[in-house]
Amino acid sequence: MARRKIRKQTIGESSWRDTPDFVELAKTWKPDAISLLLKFIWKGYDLCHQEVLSQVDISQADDQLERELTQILDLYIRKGMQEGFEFFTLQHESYEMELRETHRPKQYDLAFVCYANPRIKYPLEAKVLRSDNSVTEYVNEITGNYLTCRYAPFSSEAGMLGYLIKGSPTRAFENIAKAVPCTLSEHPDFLEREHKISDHERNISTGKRYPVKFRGHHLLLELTNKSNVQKATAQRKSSK
Amino acid sequence: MSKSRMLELAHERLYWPEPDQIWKPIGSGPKVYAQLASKKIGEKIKREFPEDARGLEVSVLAANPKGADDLPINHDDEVHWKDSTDFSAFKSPQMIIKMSWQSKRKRFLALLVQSNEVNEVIICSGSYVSVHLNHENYSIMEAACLSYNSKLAVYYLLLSSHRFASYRPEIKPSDLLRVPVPDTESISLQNIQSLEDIDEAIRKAFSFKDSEWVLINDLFDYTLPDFKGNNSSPGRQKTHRSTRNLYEKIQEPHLTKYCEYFLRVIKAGFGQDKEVCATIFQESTDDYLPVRLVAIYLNKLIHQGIKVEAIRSQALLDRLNLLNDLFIEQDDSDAGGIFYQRVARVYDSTEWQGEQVPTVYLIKPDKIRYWTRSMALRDADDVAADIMLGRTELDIEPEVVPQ
Repeated sequence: MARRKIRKQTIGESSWRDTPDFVELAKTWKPDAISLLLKFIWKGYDLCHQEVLSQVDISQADDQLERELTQILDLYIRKGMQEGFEFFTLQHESYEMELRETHRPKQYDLAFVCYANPRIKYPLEAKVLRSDNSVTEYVNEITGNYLTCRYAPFSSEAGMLGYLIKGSPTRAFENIAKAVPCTLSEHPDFLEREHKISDHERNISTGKRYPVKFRGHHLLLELTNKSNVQKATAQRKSSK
Repeated sequence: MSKSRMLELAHERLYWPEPDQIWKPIGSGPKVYAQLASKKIGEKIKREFPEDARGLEVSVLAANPKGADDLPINHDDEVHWKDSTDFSAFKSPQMIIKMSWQSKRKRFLALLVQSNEVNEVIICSGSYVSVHLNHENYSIMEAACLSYNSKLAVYYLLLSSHRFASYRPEIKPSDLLRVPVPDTESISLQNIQSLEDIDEAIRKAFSFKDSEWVLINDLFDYTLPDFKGNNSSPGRQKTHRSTRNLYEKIQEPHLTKYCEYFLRVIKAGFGQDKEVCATIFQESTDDYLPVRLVAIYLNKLIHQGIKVEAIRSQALLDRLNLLNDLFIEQDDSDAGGIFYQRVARVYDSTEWQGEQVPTVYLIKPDKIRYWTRSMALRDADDVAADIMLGRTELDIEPEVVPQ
């Protein structure tokens, strides 16, 4: 009978203990850390909305919208991280080196990265939703990348940012849930936000030890300043 | 009437220089003349009239220099033809920057030249750099002057100048050009009285966060003095068990700050509501061990904040031996125990009121440089990463990754 091979440990595993008190600590503290990251995103969005988004009519800006919005949001999220004592930092267009091949590795739009161990990442992908019906690209990121472990292979939680230009977040959530398909539920820390979560089981390639259970956070960031849109629409109509 | 009173009267009524300026002249002019006068005149008088000249002091009636007007005038305006390319940097308004780090000030030196005459400027040797900007942009020069005199310049240049960071405390003009200069609107020379004022103005101008300013301060206070200094440098000294200020005795000033910053990182990353506290173990006698031990209790407030616990040296040593056994047991590499490795982080459970409390023990040499605030940030980052990698369920295959 073949002897079962003893799995080697990582540095973190070798020193960390697996006693019930330590397991309980990780179980309660990890989700809290992730909630904090997500709060930084919402805080950054609020600041960005106040200073930038409320001043412009996004519906008039078409070129490189997703990239530029993410870049601007990145600045405001950092601005919101006022204390600077967090053990992670935010990286714009962070590489996922795990899935590197001969070509350029995949990049996350945004990722929170641990200073002490940069492999620990909390990735975020952003997609522009031109209306609450146009969720195809958003859904493809989830089904084609997150759930296949092409994105976030080491994380059992990750986020999707939907830049909603037009329409209702509720309807957009319904369309996302239908297209994935999945059940979108409320997150207790973000009841007042357009923020839902979905739980999935991922298919892991043989030989890989990625987490099977995966939780997706869906944040719909409304970009439309309604009065601006009304003005712009009126202008377009009058020009015709 | 005393000698000092007479000089004060002479200052008030005859407009002589202030007594301090007469007895302790500074600058290349008055100081040198005073030394010459003392040597040539004072010593002669003392030799000729030994009885009457007891207590004789000789100096010169010259005010201390205040600007370029007090420097000697250069009458030799011939220069080598290869150097005579562009003299526009030697125009007023002018800033002079010394190209080497000054060990006494522990920083670089930049001065704005004050001159009564527009055409009078300073010509300096190769140890200095002259900078000129027109009057409209004078505020940029003021901001640059503050930046070069600040701790930020030391921090930035130590990390970016290969000469300064390796062997020679001297920089090049190209290094200076890389040093960040604040926005002129965010800075003013008014109310700047001291070096501390300069640092504060720069900190505000760049909106440095506390966590960032700590890194600059620690490099300035410990890293650089340790690098340029010797065994007496501050970072190599033992941590203080207690110090006394005007009002009170402060227990464990270094380790308390270390713990404070450690806890701040944990709370900033996992939530301000998290129950964490720290215990500093201190020898109860003067029989100090060469290592220090700190325990961070996670997920349970077994006491408020940071506590100093006195413990007999032998008891502390016994506890360290126990932690050493645990460390060797946990780490299957050949790294040796905690007494071999200089820095060790050991996770163990502490029993408190019948509960097991997850505890991180940090064992490091008794030298200040291991217990600075910036080290606390780094150590706490490591612990936080370990938490993020920790298993969240018992009796299942461990996941490699954070959840």
